[in-house]
Amino acid sequence: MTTTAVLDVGRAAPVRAAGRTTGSRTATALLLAPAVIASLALFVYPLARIVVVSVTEPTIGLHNYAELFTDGYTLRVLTRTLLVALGVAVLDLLMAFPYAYAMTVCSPRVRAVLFTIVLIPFWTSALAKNFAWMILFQRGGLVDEFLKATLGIDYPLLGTTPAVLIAMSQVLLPFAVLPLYASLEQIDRRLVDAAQGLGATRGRAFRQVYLPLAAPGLVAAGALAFILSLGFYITPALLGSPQQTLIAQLIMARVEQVLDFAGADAIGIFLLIVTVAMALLSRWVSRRATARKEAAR
Amino acid sequence: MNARAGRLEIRELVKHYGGDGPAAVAGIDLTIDPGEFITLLGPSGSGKTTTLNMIAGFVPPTSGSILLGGTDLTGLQPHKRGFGMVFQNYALFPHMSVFDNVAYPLRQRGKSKAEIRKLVLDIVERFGLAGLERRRPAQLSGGQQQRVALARALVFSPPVLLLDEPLGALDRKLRAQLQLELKKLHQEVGLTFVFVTHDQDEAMYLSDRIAVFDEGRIDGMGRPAELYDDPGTLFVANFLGEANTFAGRFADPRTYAWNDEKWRTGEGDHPAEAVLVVRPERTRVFAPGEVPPGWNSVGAIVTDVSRLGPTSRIDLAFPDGRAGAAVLPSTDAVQVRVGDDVRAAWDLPSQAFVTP
Amino acid sequence: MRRAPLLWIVVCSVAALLTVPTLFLIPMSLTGGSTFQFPPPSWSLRWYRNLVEDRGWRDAVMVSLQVAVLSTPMAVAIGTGAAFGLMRLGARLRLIGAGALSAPLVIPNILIALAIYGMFLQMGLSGTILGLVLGQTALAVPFVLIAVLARLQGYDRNLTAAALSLGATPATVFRTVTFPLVLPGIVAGGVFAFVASFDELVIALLLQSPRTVTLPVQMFNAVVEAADPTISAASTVLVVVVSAVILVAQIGWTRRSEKRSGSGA
Repeated sequence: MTTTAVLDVGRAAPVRAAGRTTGSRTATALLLAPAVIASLALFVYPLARIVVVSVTEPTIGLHNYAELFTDGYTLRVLTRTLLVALGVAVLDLLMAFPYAYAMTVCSPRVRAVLFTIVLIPFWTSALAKNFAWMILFQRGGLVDEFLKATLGIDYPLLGTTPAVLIAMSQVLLPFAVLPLYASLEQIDRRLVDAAQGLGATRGRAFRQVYLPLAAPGLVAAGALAFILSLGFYITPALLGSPQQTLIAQLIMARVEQVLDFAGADAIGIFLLIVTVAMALLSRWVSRRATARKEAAR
Repeated sequence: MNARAGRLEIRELVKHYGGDGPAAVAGIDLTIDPGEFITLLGPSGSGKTTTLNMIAGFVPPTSGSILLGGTDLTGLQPHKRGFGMVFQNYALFPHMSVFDNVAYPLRQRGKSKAEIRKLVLDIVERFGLAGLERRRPAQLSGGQQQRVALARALVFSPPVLLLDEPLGALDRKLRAQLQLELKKLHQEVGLTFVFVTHDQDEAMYLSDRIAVFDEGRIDGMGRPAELYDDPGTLFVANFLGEANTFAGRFADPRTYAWNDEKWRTGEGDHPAEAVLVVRPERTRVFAPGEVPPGWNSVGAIVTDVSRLGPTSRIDLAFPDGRAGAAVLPSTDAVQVRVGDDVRAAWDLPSQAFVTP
Repeated sequence: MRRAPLLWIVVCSVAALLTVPTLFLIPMSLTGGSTFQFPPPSWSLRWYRNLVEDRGWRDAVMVSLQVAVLSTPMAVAIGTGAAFGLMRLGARLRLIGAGALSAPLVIPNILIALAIYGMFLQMGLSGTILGLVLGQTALAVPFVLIAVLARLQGYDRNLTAAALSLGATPATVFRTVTFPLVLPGIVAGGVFAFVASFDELVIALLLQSPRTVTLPVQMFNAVVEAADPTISAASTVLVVVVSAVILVAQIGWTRRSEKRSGSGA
């Protein structure tokens, strides 16, 4: 939700009579100064600092990064993190698409209810949500008992990657639903009706008309869930297993247990690069889909 | 509402937004008499809104000056000018009631509570808004909103009322009704109205005088009927209603030649380079050979006949391939058929010469 | 929509997934046992009592409150100022500025935490309330910025022009027109910042010292180290308190707009 809001900022309606702004440059600078200073001091400088640390400690060079790819372990963790993030993105899209679609076709009253339901976990404490999953997934917990009783499966989920996957999907679902809804709401549903009027079946009209129009929103929502999963700490720490850590746990462990700042910084920077790359990729894909959509008109 | 009489003078007003682009306003001179309803008419980007914003004080002019009753206002901040202004979307304060909206300018002027109450209730009553004082703008119809905007702009008795396309967003019927109200209001209050619009019908209907804007300049200026009959420039002729135009040349001072036609020019002076203009409703259609003596005429082919009720519109194609039209009483148009070879004709008072 | 029962089965399942798991916290918090056994063997309020009486939990609540109460106004002031500042720039600069200032939202929290921790260790700010406040402020500013900016972009600048034309000085215009209309954005941003700060774990985890354990850190430690059911009571309280704040804010808002629309009608 937050990133889409950021992206929308530049598209403000042009103001009639552009020259109407009154006031001086000094005032503008004074208004922006605290935010710029805060951003430089608490964001830009610390990040720059860990970049420097990662290539200078203990000796100058890229060995901290080289280690990421050579020790085998880090690479395995990274692969697992990417797979979990991909799983979360797919699961969230599978759940968010029907949900957001329903929000566009239902009555305003139902829409308000669906909105509130999405926003509840959005506002709920992340720890509380994860803790609730712990109770459900623990040995002897409701899910465990249910699986045993109905399917005869004895597989306590707590401490496994599937548990992390399920809980993370739930925690991040609002971040997929909200931008997706914003995007689906823009689609002119008469186009689907028109396709049906031209003889397409319901399913075909949906596949050939609605889905391509929804594609940019789906890409954006999936990418957001993916990106947010990459740096997730609480869920894998509480629900995952120490044998199957994700990258955020690795960073914390390096810092807290071995005090290997340079190593942790290198992993962190690498995580940042992957995140930014994914964000740019999703933007590119989404733009292409939008361009195709426009060309099709 | 007493008008503090004063002539509004605009002298050599220029606005350049910087960069390499042409000036948004490229030298405007305009004198507006007290109580006059003047319309700044033009297409979008012609500089009319920028001019209004400079009068209001929202846009500082690059050069030139604005005077009211001889006092120079050019450098004065907008809130010190004391002009009333009505905006295209009315710009009513959404978080205030109708009462508070109308009371706003009075509170800025430090009036007493009792006085504010009296003035607001008076004007609210006059504008037919009694009983709506506690409503929010969002709960009003478009017409009611417009009346609140007018009441708010007039309650403090400004010397001049500026109106920035206040009818632009309305549907046709409401628009016609509000035009009528606006005209009546102007007659009642006797204030100077400076009205901006791109709708020529609106301008013709409302104004004492119209200033037609094109590319930052005033291209034509005058009373609506005068400007319509004698537009002066081709731009004004085309912008104010429709025109059949013939770009020929003077064969001699009394003869104008276009294509194979030779036309009489009538008395009076003409610009050396001129285009002949005839309004469709002053163009008549005759069978060849039946043109009344003393009329000018041109061969044309009828491309379409539409009956609009009391009048009919005949679309014509002239020998150079360009389209034109004649609007006749329907009784005169019954015999005209599509494809007919006719003469489009007009008498001398109906033609005007304009600069290209 | 009535023609697609399958769609509504899916929607209801998703809605259940979003809301139901958290509800299990409530019975869990009322357990009489001292493990997370579910369903509870007996019922009691002992863990709520523990939450209030136990020094560690009480201190954690106080630290969290202190940090949130200090960082929220700072974030609101900085974010609101920046939003107003950005609106005075051209569209292009505004887009770049908003993107740069809200970048902490898209960058993984763990990385920001790591970076801030490293710097604060060097400066001796780790393990202090001030360090926590600064860290939370940095994370909260973008929330405020985005909420206020969204509101400002919906603001019709003609309103400012209108107020000026009616004789109000620029300062009065701000006080009587612009500020009241932008206020909902500021309040929303502030609530968001408060909740985000109150719930933040990763920075607090790294910056913790025995004197600066926030509630989320205490909860995290309770799960990982002690398996202390007080956490279920704490979670329930958190969920209830946050929901109550949101609900009250929402109802208050609806009431106000209803009162507005209802009067004089």
